[in-house]
Amino acid sequence: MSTFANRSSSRSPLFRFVAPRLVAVAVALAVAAALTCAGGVIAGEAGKVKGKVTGLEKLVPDVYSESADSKNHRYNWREGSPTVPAQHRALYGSPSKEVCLAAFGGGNANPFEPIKVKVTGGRTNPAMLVVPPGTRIQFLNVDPFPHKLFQVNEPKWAPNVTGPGSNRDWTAGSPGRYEIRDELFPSVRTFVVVEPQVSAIGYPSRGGDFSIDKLAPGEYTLRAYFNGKPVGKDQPGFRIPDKGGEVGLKTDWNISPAESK
Amino acid sequence: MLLSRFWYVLLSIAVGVSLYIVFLAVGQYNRRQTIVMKEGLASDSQTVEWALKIDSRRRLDQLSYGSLNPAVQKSLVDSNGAKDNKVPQKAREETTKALKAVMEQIPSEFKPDALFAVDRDGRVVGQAGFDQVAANEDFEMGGYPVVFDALHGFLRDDTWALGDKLYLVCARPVETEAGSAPAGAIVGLKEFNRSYATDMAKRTRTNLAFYTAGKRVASATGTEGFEESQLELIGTDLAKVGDDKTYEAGGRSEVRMLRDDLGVMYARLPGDAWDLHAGFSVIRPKVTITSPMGFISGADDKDKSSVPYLIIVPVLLLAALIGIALTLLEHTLPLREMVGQAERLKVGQIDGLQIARFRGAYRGIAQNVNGGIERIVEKGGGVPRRPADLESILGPVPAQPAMSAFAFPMDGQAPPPDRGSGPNAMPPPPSVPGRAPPTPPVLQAQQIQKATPPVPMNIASQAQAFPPPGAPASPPVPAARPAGPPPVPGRGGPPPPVPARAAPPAAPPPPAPLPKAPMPPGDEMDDDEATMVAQIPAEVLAQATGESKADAEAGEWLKVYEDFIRTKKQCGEATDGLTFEKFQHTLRKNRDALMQRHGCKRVRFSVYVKEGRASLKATPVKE
Repeated sequence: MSTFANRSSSRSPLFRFVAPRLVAVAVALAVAAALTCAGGVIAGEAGKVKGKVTGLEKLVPDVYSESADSKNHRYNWREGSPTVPAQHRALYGSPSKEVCLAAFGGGNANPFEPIKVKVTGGRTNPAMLVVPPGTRIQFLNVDPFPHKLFQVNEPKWAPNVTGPGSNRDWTAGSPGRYEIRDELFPSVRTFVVVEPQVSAIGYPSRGGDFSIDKLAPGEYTLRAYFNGKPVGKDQPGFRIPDKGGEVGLKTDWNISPAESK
Repeated sequence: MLLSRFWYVLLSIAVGVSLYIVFLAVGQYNRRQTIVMKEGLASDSQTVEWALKIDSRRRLDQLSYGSLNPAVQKSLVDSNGAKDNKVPQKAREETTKALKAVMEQIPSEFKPDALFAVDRDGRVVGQAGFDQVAANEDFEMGGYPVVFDALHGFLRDDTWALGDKLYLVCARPVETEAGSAPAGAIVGLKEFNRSYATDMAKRTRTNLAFYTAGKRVASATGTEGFEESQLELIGTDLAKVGDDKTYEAGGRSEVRMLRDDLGVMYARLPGDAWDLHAGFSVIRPKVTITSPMGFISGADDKDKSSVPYLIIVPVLLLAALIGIALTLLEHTLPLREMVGQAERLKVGQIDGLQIARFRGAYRGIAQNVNGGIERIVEKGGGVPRRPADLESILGPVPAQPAMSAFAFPMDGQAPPPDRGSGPNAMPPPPSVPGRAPPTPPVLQAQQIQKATPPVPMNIASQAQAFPPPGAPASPPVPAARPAGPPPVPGRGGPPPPVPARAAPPAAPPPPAPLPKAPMPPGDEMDDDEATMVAQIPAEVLAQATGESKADAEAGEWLKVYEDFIRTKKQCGEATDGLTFEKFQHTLRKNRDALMQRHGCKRVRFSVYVKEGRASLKATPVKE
């Protein structure tokens, strides 16, 4: 200890003045480089795309259609209110949680920032995600009772209790389709699609309006996901200019399953 | 003793059959009880299921108070229209206040433990009774199928397992205007707790337990006498019920035995809790009887009072009476008779046991005793008693064929064999006054041939015809006399007076062939040879054909006499000296003795052949 102290005291006053400033500049450069890489924004301003999807009323989550089937022993009584029109009694899902619109760029994307997924109300919010490999997803239990999440057909992510207020991380691996369920709540079904080229994702509102931001300048295509699978036709490509800005789709994007055919 | 033994066998068979039936009854009872328990459990399970459905429906209907509440409707509309995608604080407060008011409106029987108002996106706008989420703005319910359905216009129920609690959930849409999508939903939660289990158990009269995730969450008994601690037994069995394929597929298990006397049936609850194997179980005891005595120990006063004593007691008494009567008849009475005779024998009233008054083994005993007495008498030098026969009464009958009929005794006839020895030796006449000599019903005439020499006898001298032991033998009977009763040589007495009507003729003409006398059944006699007997005096015939009783008897005896004479001739025996008077006198004496002994009204004599010799058989007639 005494030797380290003696050596420091022998340095000149000039060194003591210049060295801290060099270190500060180096740290600043490193932070800037890291932020640039993480955001995928290499150069230019980030842009966003806006539009409107249609056909949402045709997207019925499997879990609810199964639950409505009397063969599955899910209820004693289930009857439609006579004052609610039939079109509203269709069991379409909640677009802001269950329909994921993904923007695909030309090359592989870096992992997204960690995404928080709230576990509550018999489902997760959101329940459909499209992420590049390496993206970390945090399942946060906001219910006052425990959950027991597990990945289907993956023993490494076996059922484990997540207490109230706790979270459990899941990291996207190789490209593919993954399903997360809750052993205590059968209605919890979360789908994660890992796509290397996905640049950003967004969720439409109940009315179908959506926007996807943080898009670096470049060519993109849009694809809608529901129930862990793509739905509708891919949206033709659009370009985010170098200066960034907002790009609007010229027409409504029909993502109903019928369009997939 | 035969009847008593037969009765004992009957009773043994009856007892054996009764025990067999009782043991069979135990087995059948236990088997039936098992079936009853299983059917009862199936019925209980079905009843509880129906009760839960009805309860669920009524709770669903009670939510109308919330769905039609204006404050709730307004708050939900405000929440749906929020710009910042957050539930307005004002809407939260107003909804919570309105829901508390709704809780008060719902009858206590169907009042939920918690009430929620959920907007179109599933966010909880307000709640009452579930305060752990009061400050949790992230808490929502839109993902539950029951809420999801309600938000899409459906009334529905469900079951949830939230933590370690199990809930019955009902939800219905909140509609603000007709023709539009629901503004939200009202959701009611009722916990399956002890209060609910008690209410349901009483309503369905079952022993009930709710469980989830392999643990019992609430239980209650609804039947009298069932200990609630027995409900805890399902805890260990819950882990195994998953192996029941019926339970997995159909939701209701087979009857499982928690113990030998306790059955349980599990049923899964419809809803989200179905996948968690949440459900309810009904438990019933099985009343078994381990032994026939269990029927007695398990019977109550009502059972005992329903027993048909009016049948059982008479049957019991009748069986006892029959048994007593049979033992009295076959044991006590003969024994008493033997005791009585033994006492009389002891004091000298009788010389031997009266064999005819005994039956079965007692008769053999009496015979043996009598035989023993005679043997002792014989050893002591006395003359043993022998069964009386015709010879002892009629006197010795000449054995020589040269003797003429009724002309006995004949002088110069060889003396009879010694009467004091041999099996056919005759006892002396009874010496005790009033005591009749033992007279067998069969008087064997052939014994006459072996008796003392043919000495003319009269009625009074018949008793003297048999000398006492040690007396000198009588002289030989002379040859047949032509007429008149033969004198009794050696006796010194004049011949007995012969009744005029019975006196034989001095020179009886050759008798005409008489009609064949009736033979007793079983007699084998050759009728080909006619028997010639002395002619019957007219007086005798007159007497025989008279209308008086004596005459009728004399006539009957005359026929017997003729039959006897004919039979003797047929057998090649001598009939000399055998007059009807003697014959009649002898029969009368025998008749009197038999009538005195048996108390009969008359005695019928018949002739038969025994061992090649004519014999007489006396039959007492009591008519």
